Amino acid sequence: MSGSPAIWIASHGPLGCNSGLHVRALALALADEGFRVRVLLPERREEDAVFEEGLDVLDFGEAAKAVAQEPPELLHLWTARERMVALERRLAQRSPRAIPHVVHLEDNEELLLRQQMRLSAEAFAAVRRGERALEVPEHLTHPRHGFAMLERSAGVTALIEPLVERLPAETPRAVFLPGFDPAFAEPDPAAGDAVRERLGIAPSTLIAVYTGNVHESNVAEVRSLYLAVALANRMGLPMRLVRTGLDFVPLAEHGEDLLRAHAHELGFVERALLPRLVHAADFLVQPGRADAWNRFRVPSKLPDFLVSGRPVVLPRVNLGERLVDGVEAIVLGAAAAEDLLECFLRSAERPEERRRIGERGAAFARRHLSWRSAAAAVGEFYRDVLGVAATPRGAAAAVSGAPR
Amino acid sequence: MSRFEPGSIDLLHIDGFHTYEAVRHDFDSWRDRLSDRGVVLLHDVCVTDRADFGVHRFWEEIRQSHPHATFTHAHGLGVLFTGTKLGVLERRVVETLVSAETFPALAESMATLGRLLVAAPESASEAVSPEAPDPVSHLRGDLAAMAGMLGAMREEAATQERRHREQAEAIASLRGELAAAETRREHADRAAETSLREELESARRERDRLQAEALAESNLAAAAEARAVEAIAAANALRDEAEALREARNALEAGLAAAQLAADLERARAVEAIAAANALRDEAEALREARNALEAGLAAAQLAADLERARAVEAIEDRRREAADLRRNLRVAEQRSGDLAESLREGSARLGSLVETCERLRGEAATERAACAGLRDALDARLRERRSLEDRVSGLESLVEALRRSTSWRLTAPLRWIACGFRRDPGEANAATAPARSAKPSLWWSIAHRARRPSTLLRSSRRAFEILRREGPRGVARAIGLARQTHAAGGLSTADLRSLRRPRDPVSSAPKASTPPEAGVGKAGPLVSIVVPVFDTPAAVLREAIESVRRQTWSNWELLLVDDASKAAPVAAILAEAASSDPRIRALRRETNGGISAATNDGLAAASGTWVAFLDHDDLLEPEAIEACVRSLEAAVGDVAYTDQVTVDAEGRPVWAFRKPSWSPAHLRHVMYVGHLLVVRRSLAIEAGGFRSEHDGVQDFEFMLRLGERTDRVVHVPRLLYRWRAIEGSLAAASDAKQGISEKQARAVQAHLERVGIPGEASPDPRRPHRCRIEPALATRPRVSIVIPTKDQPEHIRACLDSIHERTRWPDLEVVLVDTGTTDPQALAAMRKHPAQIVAFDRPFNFSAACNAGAAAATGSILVFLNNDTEVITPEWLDHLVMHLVDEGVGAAGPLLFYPDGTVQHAGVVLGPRGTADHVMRGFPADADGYAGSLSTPREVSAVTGACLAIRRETFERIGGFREAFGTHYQDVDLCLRLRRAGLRIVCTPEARLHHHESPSRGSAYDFLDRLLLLDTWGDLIAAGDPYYPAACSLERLDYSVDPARAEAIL
Repeated sequence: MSGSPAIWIASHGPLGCNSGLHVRALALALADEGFRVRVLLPERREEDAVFEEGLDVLDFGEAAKAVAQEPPELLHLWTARERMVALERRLAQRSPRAIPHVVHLEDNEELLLRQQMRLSAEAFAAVRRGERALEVPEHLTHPRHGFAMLERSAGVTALIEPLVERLPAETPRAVFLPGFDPAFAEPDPAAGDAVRERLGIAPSTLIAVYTGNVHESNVAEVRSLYLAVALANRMGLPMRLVRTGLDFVPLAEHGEDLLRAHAHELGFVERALLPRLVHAADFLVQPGRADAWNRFRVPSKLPDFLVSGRPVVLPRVNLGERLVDGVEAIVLGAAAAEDLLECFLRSAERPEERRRIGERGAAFARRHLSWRSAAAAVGEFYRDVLGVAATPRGAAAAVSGAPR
Repeated sequence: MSRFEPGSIDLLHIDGFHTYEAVRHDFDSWRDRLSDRGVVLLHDVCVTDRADFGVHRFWEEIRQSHPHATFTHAHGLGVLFTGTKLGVLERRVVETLVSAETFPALAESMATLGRLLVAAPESASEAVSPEAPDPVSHLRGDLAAMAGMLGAMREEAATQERRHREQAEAIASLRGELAAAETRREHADRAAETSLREELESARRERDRLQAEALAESNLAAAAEARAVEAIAAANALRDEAEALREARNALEAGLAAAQLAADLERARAVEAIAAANALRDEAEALREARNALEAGLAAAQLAADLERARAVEAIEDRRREAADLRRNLRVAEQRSGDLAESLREGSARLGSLVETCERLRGEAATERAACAGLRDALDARLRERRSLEDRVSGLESLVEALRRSTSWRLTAPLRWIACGFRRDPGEANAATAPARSAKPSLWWSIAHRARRPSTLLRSSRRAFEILRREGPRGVARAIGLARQTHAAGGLSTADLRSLRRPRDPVSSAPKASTPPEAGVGKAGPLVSIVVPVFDTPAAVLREAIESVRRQTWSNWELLLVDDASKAAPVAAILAEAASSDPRIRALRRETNGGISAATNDGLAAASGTWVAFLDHDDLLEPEAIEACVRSLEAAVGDVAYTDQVTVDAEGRPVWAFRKPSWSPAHLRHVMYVGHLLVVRRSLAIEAGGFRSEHDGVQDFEFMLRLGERTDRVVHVPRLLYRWRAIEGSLAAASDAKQGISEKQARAVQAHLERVGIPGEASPDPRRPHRCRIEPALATRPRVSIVIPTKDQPEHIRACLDSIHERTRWPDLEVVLVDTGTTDPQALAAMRKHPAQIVAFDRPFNFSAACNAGAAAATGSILVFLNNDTEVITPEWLDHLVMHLVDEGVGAAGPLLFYPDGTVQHAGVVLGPRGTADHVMRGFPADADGYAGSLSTPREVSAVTGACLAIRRETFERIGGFREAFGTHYQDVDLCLRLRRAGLRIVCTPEARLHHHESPSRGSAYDFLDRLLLLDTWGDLIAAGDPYYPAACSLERLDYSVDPARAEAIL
């Protein structure tokens, strides 16, 4: 083995998805830290080639072959979903020696599973206790399999503290905040006019931007944003919602046309174009409430929103708990429709205040949301984990790289 | 001298002794006689060469203090002007005499005249030279000149006098003008001052507002800064120090220029600190790199060794595994070869057998086919028979319909109702499959129950005949209809019955009951004392009651059986037996019969639990009753809990379920809805004073009223956990079983009203047993502003305003019409017909905004929002609405609204129908009792309609009025839910009644944005269920009929 440890980071999705982008950014930053990093993907897609630049990438099949010849020192599995459980088992079977693994947590996996499989809390608990069998798709976390893999792990990384609250105290852990994409950090003064012209939005009309898909877990909060924009227009405030991303569930059972009446649906937009849209925004909105879904995640778009220098509106949960309301962002108790509406009406005539908030939000992002500092924390965690890999479990010290 | 009055002498010539002293004496003696125009003449003022003459000395002294003139010819003459109020002429003379310009000529003339007068006698004989000037003529000329001068002087004096008068007049005029100007100036000053004060006040208010805003912003800024500092504090110490220095620098720059130097110094320190930090970081980085390099080298060496070792071990293991695998594979191959030969043999044998079976099955299939053909024929015959029967049924239905339309059928309807009730099975009647208001639950049970007992049946029959005699057939029909609505639905679902009828294990084998006290659920929880007053209870019934306690899943209880001096022999024995069988059971006995309150109080005094539960001696607890109450009380931090209850017959079979609303103090004042099971914090029960014997009969109701005065932490456990046994003579069996109950109830309520300060007079409802009515007795009647948004619809606004002004009994009424664009001349005329304040609303229609605009213009302390298509029915409607608002715990009050056909349009709003909210009990008859008084008595609801909503102005403003984001719908629900979130209750009272035509004045289009906003804001609350509407009841019919699916979900 050469001087620097070989780390394999396995993503559960393509590099272009939110988790994949995190994997990519962390891998690049870890390489700068001196690690030999290899990224494993379920499959390699032509359209993601741009994201592979600068990375050593294998798909899962290739990794299963490579592991027999050149196993890594550490396997970093992005979530404990079924797909990752299978990968870990496959690599362990083929590796000439045991490979310690760490698991990365980024979402409330229990809630995701229960929502998508329509599972009650009691049913989930029954599966968890082994009293009931359940077949879980590979993109979700099985209540028993995932937990067993966590128990076997050498440690856990997570995006936010609540994700590691329930872990045994002796489990080594590193908590780090995601960093921003530098492409969003460069202001684009012409973006506003260009986007307005392209979309036919009058200069006097305010623009709210939301980038992201709509699925079962977030449909209610995205609906709140649509509703707030529709109500703002009804109350005489010209406003448009510029939205990117796909809908995997209907926005509303009734009245969807009314909700969408003041929105520009751009659908899937190449990531390279997103900074332009973001820089055209009068408000960058992350709707939602301080609920069981948002408490256990950090929306991946937030670092990019913040560093753009445009004012960000978000609820007082996850990153919203660390931002100062009215200074670094517009932090709402709950970013539901009535709160968003009030925020839009109040801030409409205060462009200077919005500008100041945007600037300070960008300063916050530059201070706290960098992949370099995340990689430093994760790198130190790797070293600690590898240092105790041959010794009894629990001897490693916990590492926390998250700013408080 | 005495002949002269003081101040009477104008001209005084002093001519006496000429010594100084004499002259002074004369002057001083005569001085007070001088008038205010006085002139004094002294001669010989120029004689200085005689020792006895001192006139000149006196003159020199006295002339220093007065205007004067000195003639120096001959011996000199002094003229002294002592007067202070000289006339114009005198002043002119004085001016002439004292003037340096005129006096020398005058003095010369006088000297000449004097010389002439002296010389005249001596030269009289001398001839006068014709050339020489004639001295007399000259003198005459001088005199004439002097006379002319004097005349001129007089004229001038007159002129001066005139001018003086004119000037005086002018001055007077000017003074008048000045006074007027002064007045005007004062007025102007006052106006200016008032204006300035107003401006000042406005400025102050603005300043206060700005200060408040500044303070708020300052607070926000402070909070933000605090949070920022807190966030920054978590970062490393060096960055914190730098941030703090930067903040300090910013503050100093903003506030004090003089502190610039200090800021620079701080900045310099920060730079130094950062530089130091960077140096430290670099050093640390270098050390870390060095350590990493060392660790890497060490790890590499270690790993290389491990790898070599592992490879060697693995190679050996691989060889071993390969050898073992080969051996295993060989054994498997041999085994499989034998297995295959055996399988081949078995397969041949099975093939032969299968061929035989196939042949046999073919034969059976042919037989079956023939049988099927026969069955098909039989089925066809049955279908033909069914069609024939359906035709007959159709014919019979037509016949029945014709019969029902006949007059005789309608006349005999009441008798059939009664007869039908006797025939029907109570269980069937209570089945949830029965349609809403056509199904009867409790009344039919009641009638059927009575039918089993001759005495009850007799009483019911007597009552029916009494009504028939008093009110005729219509009265009987009304009574039956009323009873039907009283007990409409709210029965037991199949799931309820299944749960309640599940077999009860004998107590000895019940897992929880057989569990010793030191084990089981609740061992670690609080002790619950269950108090049972006992009096002459039938043995079997009493034993069942005790057993129901012993079956409790909550093990930490004590049972206090208080025998109220029973005469029946078995009671004492049963209690003793129970006490000996379980250490948690205690039997107490009263020496004399004291009644239920006294016995219960004995039990309360002996209790030692945290909680006290009250169980009647003939009733039963469901096994989870105590545990569910304790858990609910602990979860909600409550003081009192009550459960839903089931009425059971004498054999303990469930016949009717009473599902109760959440804590409703206003409702409780009118009907005893809390009932059983009641669990109370023991300390609170003792503090309230326990039960009162004077209220025996309604003692638990009266006790609950007093508990409600002390706490609002009253928890409803929405589960059927108590069986209320209907035995002969109990209230459970018949609401009129005990005489005088309604009067006792009214007395208890009256005392309660007086204690809590609600201005009302309680009395029994004359039409319904166990319902209390409260007539408002308001001491003061504040101004009520009725706010009506309106546009056109002349017939509606006319009827609405006429009904308000002609039927309302309220002294201080203000009507505010918010005109959202009326153009109809008739509507405009109707709006002007009565006194009203008209508020123009020219924005796009928004019901919330229109109501808010009306409220802003209103002057009353009570606001009533009213639709323009309503009409007042009851004159005292405002009395009742305002009476409820006197209770500060009530946020809003609404009335019953009726369709024009007299059926209910609004009796409160239930959360949940169609995912949002809707009116409950629509279409019910006006005089119905509803569900256990839900329509005949005031009660708490989740919301009331904005078609008529009363609210205190202060509350309305504090809550922020109607939310204008709601355009057309749901703003009333939203307002009420915000009031509830603020801890206030909403009351709907049937004593206030109006018609509501529910016209499409706002347009008939349903506003989906409003719906979405309601769900976005209150979706979680709506999904949690309405606290005042039973969770087991239908959200589609909203009539309290049981929805089997919802009942099943609860279980």
